[in-house]
Amino acid sequence: MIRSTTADITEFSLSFDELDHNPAELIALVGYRDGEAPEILRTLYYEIISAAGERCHIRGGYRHFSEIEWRETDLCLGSEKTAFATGKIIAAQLQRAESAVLFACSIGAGLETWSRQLMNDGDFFSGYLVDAVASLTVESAMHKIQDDLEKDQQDKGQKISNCYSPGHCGWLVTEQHKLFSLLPDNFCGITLTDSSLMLPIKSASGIIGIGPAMQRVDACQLCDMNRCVFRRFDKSKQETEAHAVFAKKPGDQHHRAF
Amino acid sequence: MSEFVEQLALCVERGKVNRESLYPPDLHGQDGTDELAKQALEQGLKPDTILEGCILGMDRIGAKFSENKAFVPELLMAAKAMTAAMTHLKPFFQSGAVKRKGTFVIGTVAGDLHDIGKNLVAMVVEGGGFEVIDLGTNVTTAKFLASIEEHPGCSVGMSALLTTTMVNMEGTIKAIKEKYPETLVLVGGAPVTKQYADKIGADGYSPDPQGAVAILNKKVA
Repeated sequence: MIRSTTADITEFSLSFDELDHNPAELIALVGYRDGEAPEILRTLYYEIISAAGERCHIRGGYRHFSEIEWRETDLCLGSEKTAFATGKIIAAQLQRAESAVLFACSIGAGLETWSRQLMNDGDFFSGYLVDAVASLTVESAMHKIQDDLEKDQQDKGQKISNCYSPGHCGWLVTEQHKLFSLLPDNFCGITLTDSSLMLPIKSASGIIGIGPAMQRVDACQLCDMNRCVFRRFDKSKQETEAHAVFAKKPGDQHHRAF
Repeated sequence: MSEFVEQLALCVERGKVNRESLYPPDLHGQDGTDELAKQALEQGLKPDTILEGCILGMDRIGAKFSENKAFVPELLMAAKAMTAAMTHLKPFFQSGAVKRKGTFVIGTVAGDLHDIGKNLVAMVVEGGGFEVIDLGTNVTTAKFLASIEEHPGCSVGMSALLTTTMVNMEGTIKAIKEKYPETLVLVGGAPVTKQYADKIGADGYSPDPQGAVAILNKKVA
């Protein structure tokens, strides 16, 4: 992992091999409990993993805001005090933060393109699994960066919160535009569409609170989105005891709390 | 129900494509949908019988999926097996000897590039006996309208994954209903609810692919 810091911006470049890869994650992600999944999933997983690295361009990073301000439930960051209406759930978790980072991470478009090619060729099964592996890769990369931030802050006697992302826990996805307005242009190679979709699709973004009162919690216990597609996979993950903390449905944009 | 239909339906449901396919392991070495369909036609069985087996198999796996007793990989393997059998029916579809239940135009709405959920619905609806016209992702209202023009009497399915793109469904539905008021429009996707579907004037909503087939069977077939 290559780490570079300039002023308040920290950036990372990671190789695919540095990330944790575990077939149990894929099995849980696509809905199975361990031991119930068809063996072909494991076989294809290893085939995909062996060819995925050369298709990934993994970059991530964050901007640290040493001062934050609250206007009722709106979190204000930056010199222009850009206000984020994160919603009650996230505001409650970040209320006692002393500083915060806005983060982003992307694995590039390589796996996405590969998945689409497979589907266009009629191999939906492999295409779907490649998409799922891509989702796991973003999550894994984000965790690496989050862990690095946590270690860095621990050395300063601080703790960090979960990563909270627009589109989850009541934070409107339209606030992606505000979030990226506070990051350098084309940060991690990510651009936003008018509909707040990150491109490449396999990207993540959000906010992490920092302070002695911060803690990482089970986000699904906080969130009131009962129909959220992630809930089912969190449940599955608990049942399989897969070690990775993910909860996504393949194909979804990576903007959740984890 | 004939023994053949039951056998073919089982192969579709279990995702058994052909004799060589390793999946599912317990059917390894046995004929799959590809061989069964080919043999059926050679033996003079009606092509409709093949379609019947495919529909039954996809119906069963779709029902399991809806009940969380099967997951996306199994659904995709079943769809692959169905496609292998349906390939043998192509000439009969083209000649009109075998008729589908209707035509279903599907696409992810403008501004949205997510397609896996949409693809799943497309596959299950095809397995339900409908011709599917997949317009892909980021489909504009104009493209939906052009496809309806090209396929008179078709039904339409729209998918969205983001709350920001879900809102584009409303305008598209309005335009469709203005020009083709009889067109049945179904909507789905993670942020979409029955309440939202009703609010924007959709004719149907389903949280899963099998539900879409059920609506089409009830209102179109």
